Amino acid sequence: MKIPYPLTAAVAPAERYAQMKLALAIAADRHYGRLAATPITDDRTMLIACYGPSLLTTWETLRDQHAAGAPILSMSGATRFLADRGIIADYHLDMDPRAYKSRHLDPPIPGVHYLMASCCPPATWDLLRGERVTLWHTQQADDPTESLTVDSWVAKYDAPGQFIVHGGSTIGLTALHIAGLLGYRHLEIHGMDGSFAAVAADPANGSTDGRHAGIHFAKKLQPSDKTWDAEGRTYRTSNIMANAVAETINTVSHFPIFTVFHGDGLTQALIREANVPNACTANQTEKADRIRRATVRVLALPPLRQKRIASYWDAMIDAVDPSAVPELLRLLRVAQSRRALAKFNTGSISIETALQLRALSTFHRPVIIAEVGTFIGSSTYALRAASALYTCDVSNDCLPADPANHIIPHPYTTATVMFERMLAVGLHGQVDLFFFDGRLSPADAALIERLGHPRSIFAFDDCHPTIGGGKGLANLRLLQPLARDHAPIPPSPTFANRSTLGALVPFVTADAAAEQPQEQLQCA
Amino acid sequence: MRIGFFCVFRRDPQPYALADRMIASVRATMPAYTITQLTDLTSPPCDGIDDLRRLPPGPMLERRIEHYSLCTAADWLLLDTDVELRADVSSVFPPHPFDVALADRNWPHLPQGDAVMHTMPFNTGVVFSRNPAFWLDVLAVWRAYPPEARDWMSEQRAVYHVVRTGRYLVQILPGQIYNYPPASPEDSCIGAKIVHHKGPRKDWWLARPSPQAQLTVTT
Repeated sequence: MKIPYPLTAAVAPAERYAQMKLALAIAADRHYGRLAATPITDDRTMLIACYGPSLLTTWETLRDQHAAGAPILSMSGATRFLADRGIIADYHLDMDPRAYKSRHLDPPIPGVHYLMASCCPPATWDLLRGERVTLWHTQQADDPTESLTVDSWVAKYDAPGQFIVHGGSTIGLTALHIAGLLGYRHLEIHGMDGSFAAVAADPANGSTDGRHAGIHFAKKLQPSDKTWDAEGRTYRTSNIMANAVAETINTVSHFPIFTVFHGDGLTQALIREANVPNACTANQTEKADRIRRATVRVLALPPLRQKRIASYWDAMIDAVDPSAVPELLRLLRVAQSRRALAKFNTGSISIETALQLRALSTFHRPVIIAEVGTFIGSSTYALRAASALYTCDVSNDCLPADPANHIIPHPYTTATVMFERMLAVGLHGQVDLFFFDGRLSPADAALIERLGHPRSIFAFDDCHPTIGGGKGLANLRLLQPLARDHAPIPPSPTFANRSTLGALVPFVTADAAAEQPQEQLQCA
Repeated sequence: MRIGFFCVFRRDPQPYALADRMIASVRATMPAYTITQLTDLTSPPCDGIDDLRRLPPGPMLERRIEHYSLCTAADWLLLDTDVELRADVSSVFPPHPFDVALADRNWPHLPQGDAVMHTMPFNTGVVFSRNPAFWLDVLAVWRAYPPEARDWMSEQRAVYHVVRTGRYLVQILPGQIYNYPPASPEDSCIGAKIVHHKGPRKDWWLARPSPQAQLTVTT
């Protein structure tokens, strides 16, 4: 989602860096710790308490969730708002460099752990004397005085190995990332509205225009002159709020986090409209229940070189040497010339599917491949096996053996017979990649289970309700129970109807992913 | 005369599959002419080309016009990859004094609507070019467009803008003959010298057996 308005800095960079120097000096004096990364797990949830007006309606839910054991990461005036209601947040987060913002800390609330950005104003440190404080650094513009990026500046002035948190334009957005550093990716988010309350004002709480849940200290209020329609309703918002809303939708869409938004506001409406698999609102009860139980699993992917990667297949193809394209077109032309030999003349794969198969072979480097549906050899030659490629066709004998390319055809042979022959020559648990362009039987599935291993990859042509009689989907469903640690990969949206190749690809363990820094996280 | 076409690989192999067929059609109808692929620094050469020209990567439309502006010192027939030559069209060049020859969109079987005809009445999938300065002007016009106006049709609007300046001698060719989009997969395109398989017609064209597959080839 596009960020609608230009983002402007609240405080000039030189002043921010001066404040950071002061913060580091005080941190050294008071022995403040630095925020460190805690391993993330799926068995715990963090409550994010923002200060939007809907907190007025959801704080009791938050209180119950807190009582059930989930810690609260709070911010702005929300920390005091909750304290006034007997709820002591576990953490208070702040990164606002403007001097008057420190009034939200006055006086500090006993029992709260203050997670303060180094750019916070000097008054912060006077107020937090004697409190539990942890320091962290936020992404910001370069230091104009020393011509240093923030990374270089922190490396120069702070202890080695410090994080720079790229949180976003508001403290609420940053809280999502800080929660990750604290070891959480399941987040229950309260008061992140991005809009004004429909019924403005709660004078008893000091909220005069529906902008916040209660008293908020500001020098100059941003005009509330913007509107944004969602779910058929018009929400009143401001430039900063609207930007934050767009950033929120982008963040939950692109990061492996699970978020349930509470309350009523523009953000919540857009979350429902976005309908991403890992975010919803609390009143979407069934989805919320699913999201609360969801886990992240990791797929191995090649390093991503381009920005716009829309799918697993995009990522795989991005890693293929482009010279494969004309080579594959040559191979397809050669394959087409074999049609004359076909007794049962049928369709063959597209260049897109050929490229996807080559991508799988290039990245996973299979030693042994089994293919069902040789026909004229288009897919056979798109695949690449280091040791042997066994391929069968029940109706045709179009492809001669090709020892140079390790191709071992089985003409006029069913998959069942070929699999049995493979087992007979001792290939138990040795097939790294299966490609199916023919319908499998339950008997085949049992043989495939014996030939494959936990990290085998299964690729299916015709993963489509009607194309190819839907045999790809039928095959995928047949093998899915045997591949519970595999992710189903749908056909490439980039290629639309030009390729119907689907796959079952094994997840890798978090440890394996950590050992391979080039791999990317995928939400499953 | 030289034949030029712009083709880059951006994770989609379809332009290469189309270019294969376009090149085969050129070889079949005008075998004597040099075929030049206009591309970026990393895209692979298509099979069957004689010459390759590379420019640094950038927005595809901009690079394509830039390439066209560098097509000098010859008469150039500049084609999209989804174009199929059905006849030798080299005779368009010699006797006619023009800077560029563009095909109109007067396709009775495919009415274009007023908006299209008023803003981009020429389809640039087939262009006969003699004067690269025309493309420099197109490039300048296109670059002056705000980012939101640089959609995939913007190059054709820029071309019409330059045509309307009157600075260039422009020959208008009948699109029915020189830039014919088939009406259906079964359309035999009788009378068309150049067939343009634009839009969904790409799939129709690629679904047909490749003429090159008839060749005897071994791996």
